[in-house]
Parts: sequence; structure tokens; C-alpha cells
Amino acid sequence: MRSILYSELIKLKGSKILWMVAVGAFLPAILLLLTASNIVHSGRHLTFLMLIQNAFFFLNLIMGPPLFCLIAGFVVARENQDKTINQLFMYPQSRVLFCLGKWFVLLPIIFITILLLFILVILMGAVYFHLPITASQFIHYLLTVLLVIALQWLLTPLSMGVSMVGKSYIPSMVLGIAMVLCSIFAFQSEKYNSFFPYSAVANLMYNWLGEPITQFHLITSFLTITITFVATLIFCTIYYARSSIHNG
Amino acid sequence: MDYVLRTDYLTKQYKGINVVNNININVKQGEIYGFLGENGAGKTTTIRMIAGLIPQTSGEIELFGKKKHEQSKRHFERIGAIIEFPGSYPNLSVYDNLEIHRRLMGIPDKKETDWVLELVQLMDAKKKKAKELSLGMKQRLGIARSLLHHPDLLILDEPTNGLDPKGIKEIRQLLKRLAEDNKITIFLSSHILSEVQQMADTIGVIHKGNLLKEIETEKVMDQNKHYLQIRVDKPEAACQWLEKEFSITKYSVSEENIIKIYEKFQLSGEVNRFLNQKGIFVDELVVMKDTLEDYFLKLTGGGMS
Repeated sequence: MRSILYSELIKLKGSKILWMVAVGAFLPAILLLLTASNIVHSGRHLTFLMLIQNAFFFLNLIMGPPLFCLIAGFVVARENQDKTINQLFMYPQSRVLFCLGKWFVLLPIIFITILLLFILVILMGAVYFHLPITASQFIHYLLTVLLVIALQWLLTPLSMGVSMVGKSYIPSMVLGIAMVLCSIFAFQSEKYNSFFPYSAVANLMYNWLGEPITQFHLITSFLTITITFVATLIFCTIYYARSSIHNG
Repeated sequence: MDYVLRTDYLTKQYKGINVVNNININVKQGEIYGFLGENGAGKTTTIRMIAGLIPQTSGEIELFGKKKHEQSKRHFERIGAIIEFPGSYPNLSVYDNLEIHRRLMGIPDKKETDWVLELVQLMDAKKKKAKELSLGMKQRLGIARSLLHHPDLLILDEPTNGLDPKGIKEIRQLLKRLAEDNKITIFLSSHILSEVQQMADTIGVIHKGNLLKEIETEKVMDQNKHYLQIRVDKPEAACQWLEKEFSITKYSVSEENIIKIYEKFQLSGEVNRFLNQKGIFVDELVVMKDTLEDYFLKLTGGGMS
């Protein structure tokens, strides 16, 4: 497994997809800067909690789905597009391990993206808006970041599966965009917001930050993410293990 | 006889149509086997089945003496392959592309990467990104990757596709050298007759999914050299005179009283006159040559490059 992880990491070396990390961190930060400036200019009180909430609203519901779907799709589908899939399936290693290797390599990418966004938010709050933050608040927000990283990572097998079937990262991009639309609409509906994976992530995050979310939503959100993760990861491993390579 | 690869009535069916139909391939250890067939004949499908990339509909594949159900993933350690395209990661250097392969194949010695770069003459380009390579260099990178783990069997699907004549010559020389020096068994597919003829020890001809012939290249060449063909009314007597008077020993007699003489064509006039003098009626006398193209076109009914 070590050699698989090494190979998956090295495959990203010099890859343009890594620019998506910067996009994923800076774009929500820019949106946040604009939103926070409006709040300040309108005379309302701005807090660190508001910055964190808004930043991760942008990330979880607007930027995250297309971005992480695209990256996950790329990691999987590049083997087809670079015509390396034949060789990949001829290594004396299990295809399931290759599938898991691709999933694992998404973790550092998501981790860096979200952590970078968090650092930008902290800098923005402390340096630009001069907002006070205590050590316990910082740790609480940091744990929120870790929670979001974990939840976003758990949803990546969904787009991996779509790319495996489509043999391209375009279908996972389309999925990401569709997820944005669904999640934004779903998030506004208390009845349905727990049934969509990405709005469920937002639910769990708001709950962790201390927002008033009902117990029903919390459990349903948790179940939605768990079922999506388990079902899609099982699908991916089985599909990868059994797939035939007719071209590529 | 040791066989590295054998197929037993191997068949692949798509939508009820046999694209590969009951083929029996026999690849001997240490030989270059040319799998010849026009585009769409079923070469790549066969190779994909051998490589385990698609399942066969029926039949058996035996690799290194083991049938498919006896094989484990470890047998891939003994196979190097380029199937259809020499794929590589475009954002990585030649060296990194090979390093990935080395690690995944479990080869501990980093020097092997340098060794194979030297072998395919890519050492100067080791830091070049794969996307900057010419098609010939990409092909050599593919070959380097398939050789890095010292396979016993090298499977190459159309290895000279898209190469210029110089590139084709280089690949041909490299493969010959590998077979001779490293004793690697090479199974290569091509639709180009001259390429297969120049490299292969055995040729398997596939046409519309059927393996029409599996024959040693030497035998094909023998069957297709110049000969003097004479049709006579008394072939036995004619043969006796040919041996006695002209010391001709390389000849064959076929049905319809045809004698094929494989030497001393310059004596055709004298042979004609002499046999007539001896009361043997010469009905036809002509110097013949079947080209390899003719041979394979006859086999396939047309459609070979």
C-alpha cells in the first residue's frame, strides 16, 4: 500500500489540478472578504464566528462540491485519459488497493485546501478586521475545520464513482455543479436539507459551531453522509475490481 | 517444448458476435511471435484477454504453464506490456514515470531505472516531461517501463504505430537485441507484414477473429522463394534426368505433374531442350516467385498491409 500511496502522490507532481487548491482556498476567502466588508460598512457587528460560518458556507455549499468533485474525478479519470489504465491494472497489486489509494490521496488535497482557507480566515479576522479570538475559540474553530475536512473527504467516493463509470472527469464536474444547485435549494428547506450530502455537511458543521439545528436533522444528516460514503466507496471498489478495459 | 503463452479455443463475444473465435496461440520460450492481422482483426482484443484486462467468453489462457484460475496477480511480475498506447503521466518526467513503475513492481534497486534508460537510449531525456517527448520517445518510454522489472514475456501491441521509418528501425533493432541478449519472449502484434516478417520467429495470422495460420517465418520464406516450375507428362523420369544430368537435388513434385526446382534457374532453356530430347513433353516452364504478400493475401483473402 505504501508504494501505491507514493505513486498516487507523485502523480500529482507538477499537475495543474493542484491550482484548484489555491482556487478552493482563495475564492471563498475573497467572497468572505466582500461579505464581511459589507457587514462592517452597514454598521453591524462582525464576529469571528460569523467569518467562520460564512467561509465554510461558501466552501461547503458553493465551492466545495464542484471543486472536490473535479479533483476526485481527475485523480480517477486521468488513468483513462493518459492511457495508463492498462498498465495500472497489470501491476501485481489488488485493484481495490489502487482504488483506496486514489481515495486516500484526496485527503491531503482537501486538507491543504481547507486548512489554507482557515488560515486566510484567521488572518483576515485578526489582521484585517482586528477581531478578538481566544485560544479556546481558535481550537474550537480548528476542530470545525477538521470536521469539515473529514466530511468532505467522505463524500469524494461519490464523484470518484461517477468518473470511473464515465471514464472522464467531466461527469464528476457536472455532478459537482448539480450538487451545488441541489444543496443550496435543499439547505433552505428544513424538511429536505438533511437528505443532500453537501447540505448535510453544512448541517453538521453548523451544529458543531453551536447553531440551533434540531436533533432529527442532525441524525438524518449524519446518516445521509454515512450511507453516501459507505455505498459509494463499496461501489467504487467493486467497480474498479471488476471493470474491463476495452480501450485506453 | 516450453511454451510461455498458450491459448486454447480462446473466444470473445460482443453482442453475440465472435470478435475472437476459438484461437489457439502457441508462443515458445525465447522467440519473437508476430501476431499479424489487419486493423479490427481481433489482435488487441486477444491481447487484452491475455493481459487480464477483459474476460474471455470461453476458452483458456495459459501463461508460464499455468491456467487462468491457477494464476495470481504475481504473474504480472513476469509480464511487460504496451497495449494500444504507450501511456505515461504527461506532467511527470521520464524518470518519475519509471520510478512509479519501479516502486509498484517492488524493485528495490534505483539503479534499474538508469539501466533501462540506457537500454532504450533515453538517458539524455530523463528529466524531460513525458508531454514533451516525441511519439518515438514515448514509445521507447513505454518499452522502458515494460522492461524495467525484467519480464520473461513482453507483450507489445503495434509497437511501431505512428513512428517514422527511423523510429521503426530503432524499435526493431531494440527488440531483436532484447530477444537475443536478454532471452525475453516477445509477443508483438502488427498489421504491417514487413515488420513482422523482419522480427518474428513465428507468425500467427489472425483474420476476422480467426487464427488462420501459425507458422515459423523461416518456413514461410522457404515457401515463397524463387523456383522454376515445369509441367511434364512423365514427372518421375524427368526427375531422374534432372538429378543425373543437371545435379539438381532441390526440387519438389506436386500433383498435376508439376515439378518445382529451387536451384539453377539459369538452366531453364537447357532443361527444356534436354527433356524434349529424352521424349518428355514439357507443357509449361516458368520461373515463379510468390511474395509474402501474396501468401498472406491468399490466406486472408486480401486486406493485409
